[in-house]
Amino acid sequence: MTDELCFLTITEASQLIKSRKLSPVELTAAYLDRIARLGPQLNAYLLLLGDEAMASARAAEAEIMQGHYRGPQHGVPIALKDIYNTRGIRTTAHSALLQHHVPDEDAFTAALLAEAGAILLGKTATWEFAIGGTSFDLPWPPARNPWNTAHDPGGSSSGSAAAVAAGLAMAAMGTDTGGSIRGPAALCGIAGIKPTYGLVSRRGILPLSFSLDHAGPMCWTAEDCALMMGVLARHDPLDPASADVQQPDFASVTGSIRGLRIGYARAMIEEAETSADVVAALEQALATYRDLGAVVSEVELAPSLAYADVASTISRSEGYAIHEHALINAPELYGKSFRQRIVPGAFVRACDYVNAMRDRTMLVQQLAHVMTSVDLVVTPASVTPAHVLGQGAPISRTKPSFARPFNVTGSPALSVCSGFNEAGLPLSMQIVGRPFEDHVVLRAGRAFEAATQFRKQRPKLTADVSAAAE
Amino acid sequence: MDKPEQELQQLAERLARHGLKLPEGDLAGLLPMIAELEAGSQALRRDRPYALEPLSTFSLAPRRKA
Repeated sequence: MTDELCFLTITEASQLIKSRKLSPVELTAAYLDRIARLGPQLNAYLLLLGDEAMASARAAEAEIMQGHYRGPQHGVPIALKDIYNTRGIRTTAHSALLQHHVPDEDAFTAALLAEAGAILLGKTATWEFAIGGTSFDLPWPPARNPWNTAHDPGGSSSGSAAAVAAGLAMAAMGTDTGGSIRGPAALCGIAGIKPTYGLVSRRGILPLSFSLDHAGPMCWTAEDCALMMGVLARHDPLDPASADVQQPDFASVTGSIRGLRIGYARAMIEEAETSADVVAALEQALATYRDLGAVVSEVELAPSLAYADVASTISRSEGYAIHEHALINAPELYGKSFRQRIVPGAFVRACDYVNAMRDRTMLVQQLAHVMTSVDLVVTPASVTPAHVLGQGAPISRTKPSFARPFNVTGSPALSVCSGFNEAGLPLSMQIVGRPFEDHVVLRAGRAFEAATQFRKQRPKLTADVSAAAE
Repeated sequence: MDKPEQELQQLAERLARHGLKLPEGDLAGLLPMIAELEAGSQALRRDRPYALEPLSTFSLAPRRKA
């Protein structure tokens, strides 16, 4: 029974908690038990907060029993990528540089989730400072993919994706500078949204690239992501990028998508030499959307390389500026992969950075024009399914990415599971919307999940008798 | 000194000008990463409309609710 609790969605669990049929204490204990049994296979957590989580769960239970139910996150066990600052709790960025770093303040979003009554189970693995790649020379091992532990979960929000997919957290927070929520969500078969730039505060999250960093939730379903966004989408006057806008109507995500206009970026998909199983799943997804009453047409976006050159010039410049001091003074405290990805930023000319920002303006305008004729654009979220751990193609200018363009434009972009390949690894679809129409993106994701069976399948971890029996 | 060694030494000197002294094992892998990034930055070197402002244009205007 306890493992079944760990496979509830927030939507399901919150109803049970609200009606007092499920205790946050029972739920949290179930997660901690499952993490103790299965966690070592996945290395999803860098830090477990068992005692603190149980204390929070008991407090939540007492409040709810007294009639003070706070909302859908109340009593729900979650995890935070270990670049979210947590007051009094070690926050390392998966790096020896911050191995003993204990912040004195919560990230804005961590505080919002705590106020909403969420139970923090622990801090999850990440690529070092959200960019270092899958590395074996850090104080902790890299996370593994629960669908096949020999495979990579993607990154940089690797532990968050692995934990949610494996039933080791009901939701987890990630960050996304070039695909770091959507990539691991895709490879681990979960839902993950990079919200519109400015909709979710980044304050108190260790930065990688100020103008490309986004924070967002990773959950089993798009509907759960919408519940999380209802808490997270708040104006933060202390994040300079935070937008003071009305919150999108996240309650509308269960609505119909009839008449919604969906653009299919065929040329971009062909240019990327996307794997055949990913393309087949996407075409099947488009057929599902047509059946649901959406209108599908082809759209043409700017070439991938235009986005790549802008994204890499900006991200490496901003990232190097953040890390230059420590790279000069203590380079050995970073992993080799991190150094090799960030140090090239030292050689970008200021003029090139400014021109990248000017091209970014054009790319934003170009996509806005495309999206006058469609409401959403769909692509795969990942070019291929998960590769073997440590054997991924190195990051390069010409390596295709469906995620990166929408960090450049700041558009809301959601990854959902679009099926499984013959090896049982998840396939993915990305749904992109207009700025601040995150609810439309989530509605399309939720409609697809409701119309298909892919949310009924969970990873079968070797020692996981209950899941194997499904 | 053969060409690869010369390139690595030049890279070490280039890094040193930025105050960087990385482990020697980094240098061979760093060369293609720098070349990649520089290729991308160079692709940005072309003419643009004078009035095209960067997305990060500085502003002190109070933000308003949409």
